[in-house]
Amino acid sequence: MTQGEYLQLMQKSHAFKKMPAELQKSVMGATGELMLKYADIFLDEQKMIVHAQKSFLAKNKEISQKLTVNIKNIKKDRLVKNEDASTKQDALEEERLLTQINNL
Amino acid sequence: MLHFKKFRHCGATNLPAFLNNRLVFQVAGPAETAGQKPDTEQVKKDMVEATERIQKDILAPEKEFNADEIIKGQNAEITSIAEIALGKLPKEGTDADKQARKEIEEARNKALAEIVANTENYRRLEKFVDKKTELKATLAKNDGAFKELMVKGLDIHAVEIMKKVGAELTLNAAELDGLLVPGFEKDNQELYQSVHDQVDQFDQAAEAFTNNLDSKVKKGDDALKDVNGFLDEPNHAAAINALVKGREKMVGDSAAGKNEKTFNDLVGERSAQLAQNVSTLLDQNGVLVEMIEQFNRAGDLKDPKLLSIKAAAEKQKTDIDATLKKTFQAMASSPDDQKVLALSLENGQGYLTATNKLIELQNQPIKNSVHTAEIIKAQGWQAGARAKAEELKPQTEAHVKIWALGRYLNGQGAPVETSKEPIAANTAEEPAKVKEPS
Repeated sequence: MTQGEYLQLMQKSHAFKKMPAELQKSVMGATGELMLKYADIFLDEQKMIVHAQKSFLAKNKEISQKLTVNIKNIKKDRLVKNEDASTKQDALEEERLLTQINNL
Repeated sequence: MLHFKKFRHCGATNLPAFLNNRLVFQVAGPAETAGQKPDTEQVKKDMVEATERIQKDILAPEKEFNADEIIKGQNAEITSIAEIALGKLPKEGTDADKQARKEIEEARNKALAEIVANTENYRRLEKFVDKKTELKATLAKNDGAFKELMVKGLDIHAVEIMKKVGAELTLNAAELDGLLVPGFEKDNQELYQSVHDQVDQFDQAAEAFTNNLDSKVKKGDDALKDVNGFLDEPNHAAAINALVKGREKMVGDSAAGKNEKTFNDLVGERSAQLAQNVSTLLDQNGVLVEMIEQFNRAGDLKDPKLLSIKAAAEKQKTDIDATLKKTFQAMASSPDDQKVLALSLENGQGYLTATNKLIELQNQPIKNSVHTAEIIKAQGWQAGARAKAEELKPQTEAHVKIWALGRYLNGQGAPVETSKEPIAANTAEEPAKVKEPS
């Protein structure tokens, strides 16, 4: 890893921005073996944070999808209930009409 | 369609009403009439598109992941999905409509709460990763610094820093433990072990250093005890006299080019012991001066053990001064002792030259008897003394120190510290002749 690549890695790091200034200074000024050690640590951090971000987004998507499915089920249930009520209403109406016809 | 078929079967009586209702639905926009199917497919499609758009934006490498923006968008999306569904319900519908409204609102609230929980989990994980990365970077930094320190050598300041860093690491590890996210237990355990190992490493190095300081002070205590015990003994005066005579003899012999006997042979065991004791105290004085300087350079100390060592070193320095004065007074209490003092002062320059030569030789990488022989040569002793050089070396040093003691206690300068830089000669280079005390 070149010093330039290493510095690019640092710029992307969320954890680096949160670190105490003294540690940041050491990280930015690292060379040789220590720089490679830091690079490993920050690559590891990036892997973890990207994984966390993907999980976060996936979970959000899942919540939205679940809500849509829930709403769909609620509406289906509502339709069935309304249909039952409507069927009952229709039967009563039919009976009333038949009675009317019979009474004619 | 179900209603339509039914009504066709029953006759067209209710068809206008159905159409009317349908018309109401169309005029009223998205609001559904009681009993109609919702248009969930479009909502779902919209939602999927929105999510995909967000994901595409977020996951694009050039875009920065902004959780706040994502949550804002997500909440809007949840609210929108629910609003669309609620908007399609009639304002004054059947009981089933009212129940559906209630359930949709509940589902929306639950989804919003889940978004909050998901966000909290993410933030927690983010904090955990930040802390973990910081801790790992700190360990790497400390490791490098520790290796450098081991090469350079520890001092009190470094020990204090190591103790402070160790305490901070332990706190950070505990903080990380508190942030632990399920699924990272093994990872965390490994990191915790690394912290523990480093703190142990620091503690051990700091403890070894502190124990070394402590043992230096204890050694001084023992030497002080020996010297004071010796000075309190009734036949101390005899030892002083033997010392005086022995030294005169040695100086005389060296002036005459003879050096047949060792210092011990000449002065006897007790006076040799006295010389050695004084020499030890002066050495210890040098050690204490250096140690106290180091303590002062370290600034405010926190470690109780280091603080107690500092107090003990300062007290010992005072005690050594007092004991050296006592020794000097004992030496100066008889004409013979005054003679040895005068002898020391008069011959001081010669001893000083020898001391400087000794220090110069000691500072060279190889230490052997040749160095001592060089010292002897420097004092004008016979070349034949080379064989006895190693044997004579401690006595030579003791002589120098006793002379330095006299000079020091007589207010003429600081004690000679043989481990330090050579002392500058200020007068004649050759040993002065012995004068009888007036």
